[in-house]
Amino acid sequence: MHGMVLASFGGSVGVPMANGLVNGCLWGLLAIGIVLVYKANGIFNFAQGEFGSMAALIAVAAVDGLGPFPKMPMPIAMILGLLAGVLCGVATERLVVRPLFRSPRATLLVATAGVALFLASLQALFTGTDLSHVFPAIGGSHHFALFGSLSNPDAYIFGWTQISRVLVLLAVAIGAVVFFRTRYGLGILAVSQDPVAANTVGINVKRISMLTWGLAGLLGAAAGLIDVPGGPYQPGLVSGILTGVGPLVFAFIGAVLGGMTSLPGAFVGSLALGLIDSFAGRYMPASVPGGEALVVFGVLLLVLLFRPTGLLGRET
Amino acid sequence: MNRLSGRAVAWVGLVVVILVVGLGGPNAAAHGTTAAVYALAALSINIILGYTGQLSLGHQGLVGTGALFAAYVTTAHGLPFQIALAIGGLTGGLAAVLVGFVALRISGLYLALITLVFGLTLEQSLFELTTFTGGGAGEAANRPSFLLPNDRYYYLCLVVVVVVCYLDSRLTRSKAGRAFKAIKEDERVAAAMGINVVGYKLLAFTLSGVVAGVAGALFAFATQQFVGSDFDFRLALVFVVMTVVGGAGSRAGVVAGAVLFAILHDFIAAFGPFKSFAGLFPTQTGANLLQFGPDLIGALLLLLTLAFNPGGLAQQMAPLVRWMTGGPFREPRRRPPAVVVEALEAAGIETDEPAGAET
Amino acid sequence: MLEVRDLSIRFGGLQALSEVNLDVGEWEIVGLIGPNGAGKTTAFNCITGVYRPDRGRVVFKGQDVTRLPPHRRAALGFGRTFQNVGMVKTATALDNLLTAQHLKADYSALSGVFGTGTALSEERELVRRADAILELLDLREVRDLPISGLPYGLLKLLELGCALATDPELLFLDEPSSGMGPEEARELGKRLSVVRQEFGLTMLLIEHHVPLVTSLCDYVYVLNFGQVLVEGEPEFVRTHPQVVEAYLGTAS
Repeated sequence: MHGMVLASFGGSVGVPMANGLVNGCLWGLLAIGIVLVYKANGIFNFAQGEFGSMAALIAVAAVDGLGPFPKMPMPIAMILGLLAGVLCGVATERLVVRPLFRSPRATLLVATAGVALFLASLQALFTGTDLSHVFPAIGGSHHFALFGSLSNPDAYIFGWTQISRVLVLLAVAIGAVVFFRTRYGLGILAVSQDPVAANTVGINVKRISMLTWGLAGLLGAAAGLIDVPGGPYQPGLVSGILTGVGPLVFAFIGAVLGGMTSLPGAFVGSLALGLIDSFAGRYMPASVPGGEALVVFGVLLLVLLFRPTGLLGRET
Repeated sequence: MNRLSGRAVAWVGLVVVILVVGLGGPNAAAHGTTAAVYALAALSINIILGYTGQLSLGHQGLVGTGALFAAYVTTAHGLPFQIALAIGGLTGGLAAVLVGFVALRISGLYLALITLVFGLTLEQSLFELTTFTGGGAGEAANRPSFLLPNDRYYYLCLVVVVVVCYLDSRLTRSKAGRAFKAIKEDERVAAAMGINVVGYKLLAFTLSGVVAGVAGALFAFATQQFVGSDFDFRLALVFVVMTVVGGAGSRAGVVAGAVLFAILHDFIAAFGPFKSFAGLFPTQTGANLLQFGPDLIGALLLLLTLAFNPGGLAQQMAPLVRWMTGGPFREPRRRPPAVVVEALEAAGIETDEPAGAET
Repeated sequence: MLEVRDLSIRFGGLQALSEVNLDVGEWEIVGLIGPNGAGKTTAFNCITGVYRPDRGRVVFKGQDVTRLPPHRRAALGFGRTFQNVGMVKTATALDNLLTAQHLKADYSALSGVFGTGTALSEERELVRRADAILELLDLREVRDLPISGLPYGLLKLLELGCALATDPELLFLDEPSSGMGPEEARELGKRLSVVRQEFGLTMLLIEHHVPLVTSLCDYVYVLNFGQVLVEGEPEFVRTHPQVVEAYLGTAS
């Protein structure tokens, strides 16, 4: 199919565009968590993906009735998943980030990578390479079609899982705008700009730190929960530690693209990256293995070389 | 038993242990080879992370590149083993230069990200090119006949590790080594002292790449095969974990860390008591424990090391290493020199040492 | 020797420096004083290349160095100390002096790795020079001690030694007397004078210690809110009403 110019709009533009945007929504959700931690602590949280994978694990366990969980309906399972994510975020903050607060940044980076490996291995202990635990697609097997009918191969077929990705991102976007006007949101922004000044003004820096990471955990969990439906649960799926590549890498690149200091940039950058990646996948010749990866890597390098503050970021 | 003979015993003991691994049992040599290759990977990461303070999460890509080209030149072009080894090192270094040239101009955080993506990209593109992969089973990398016996190959790997350690020791005592250290501590100060920060970061990364490439070549010949999927993101994390747990910045430490992890991975599955422990769990969990336990333990050790023992194993080993290389076992209790005592007193700080001769 | 023209830099909403003009003549010791937050260290950072100014030029010995990175300026003859002790804290005094002589180590990095004869003999030379500096500053006894345990005053002295080790022509000293009592500061002043003589140096120093500035400096610039307020000979500046007001006015 690659290289053949399809007459229909769906095949050549519509499907990649839709795919790209939906993927971008998933990555954007992760990217917001990444940017949040970057603004607050000045580091890249390599464990962000694993907050999502842990959430997915708990949700799958709840839905399938594994281990200590009785079988539960999907919404409850998802709520449990979200809680698990928040717990992971808060635990990471208390046990890893806070003790290492004064360490050089390389140490903190290594620490978050260590947390990622730890969580992924922990998950693997429970499910191993067993692919039989499938999280059901959201909304059952209802399918819709864009750019053609359901039977048209050039049409974009999607279900509620894809819709949920877009909806969740929109919800989070609106939520973010609202949240950052509240006392807590402003507190986070203040601490990220100048912790000493924030402390002087009476903001409880420790509690804000916990809140930030709890939020990061929540966002990561949400990403994991909209990533896993419709497919088998695999340990480390969001980071790609054991599965090859996961959404996490794309989320990082999307965050860079949008400017690491800009929360709206995280959306925009991820959506843009989604489109770039999707079209690359569609049009890169099959003879070049990993063509998609090459394009995405190239984009990362170009942005960092020529516009390091990203599309929407400001000079730090 | 005076100090000299005690030290000699320790060195002899170390050599004996190394020989025993080579001679003992059919699999010991293979395990020893894995340990040696891991040690080289750890030494490689040590140069960029331990000495220069930059994190690379794509080193598995550099190791894989060395493995890929070593296998390729041997099989497709029939080049001799030594050349293949050199090519492995060179291509590792070259790959490092290519990514370092761009990545090192930007802050250290982004290096971690760029190397991460670089490693993944290599895995999906270069390592999948059919010219190099020879089909799904992976490109062959056959050892020359005189190296076919496992224990002989193990000794070769050992020699390479020793040579790299020696060159590394020369590096740390030269101006480049000092430049790396200054960069790690404070780039502004390094620049004020005339150090070309970007240039030396690139040098560190390149040297690191060469060692990684050699490690890869040795690995390819050890398994006599290059398989692209061996070099995945998990491996990048394992490399960093063993370097930090061993003690980033210390040669002996990172080698010890590498040996520890090689043992964890290779022996644990065969280690009787652990097997029985795993057998206590329902079969699936038990199997998972054996397969993923080492990673979990490793990650946990990493976090514990960072929190409580930042010097890694090297911190514990320091007295032993110091003793074996000619110094005293215990840190000598030094009296501060006169000049220090006077300065403290001038500043109004009480000291209870009389100013005067040091021990 | 050094001409700074029109130096300006802005950080976010704050204009840290505006149109600063400085001249330092050969073998002069020029002081840069002003209340806290006036922009003195920022000026240093701009002139030595750590920051890139928004506007302005820095000309050293007739050569425009405005676009050069800091290590290139060091190669041309800049030496510098920092406010919070700019040395490698985990290394020994000797190691720091060796590191500071980076530009004088006349062998390639690779020959260092292989331990060639040139590399080894150059290293011996570096150690000899380091010992000479330790001797000059009376610091021989701390040669092999890690510097992290040493008292602050000693560290500042050692840092001066490292700056000298870079073989500079123009020394930038950022509060060299900080952490020193009046007796020590006077010693420092004498030492700097001697050093200027022996090494043929020119100096630009940021200082708060008024007697030191008056006794040592040939010329003084007063900075306030990022601008040059007053300039002139130390006595003139010291009693200048605007300078007095600047210091008293910012006493809160």
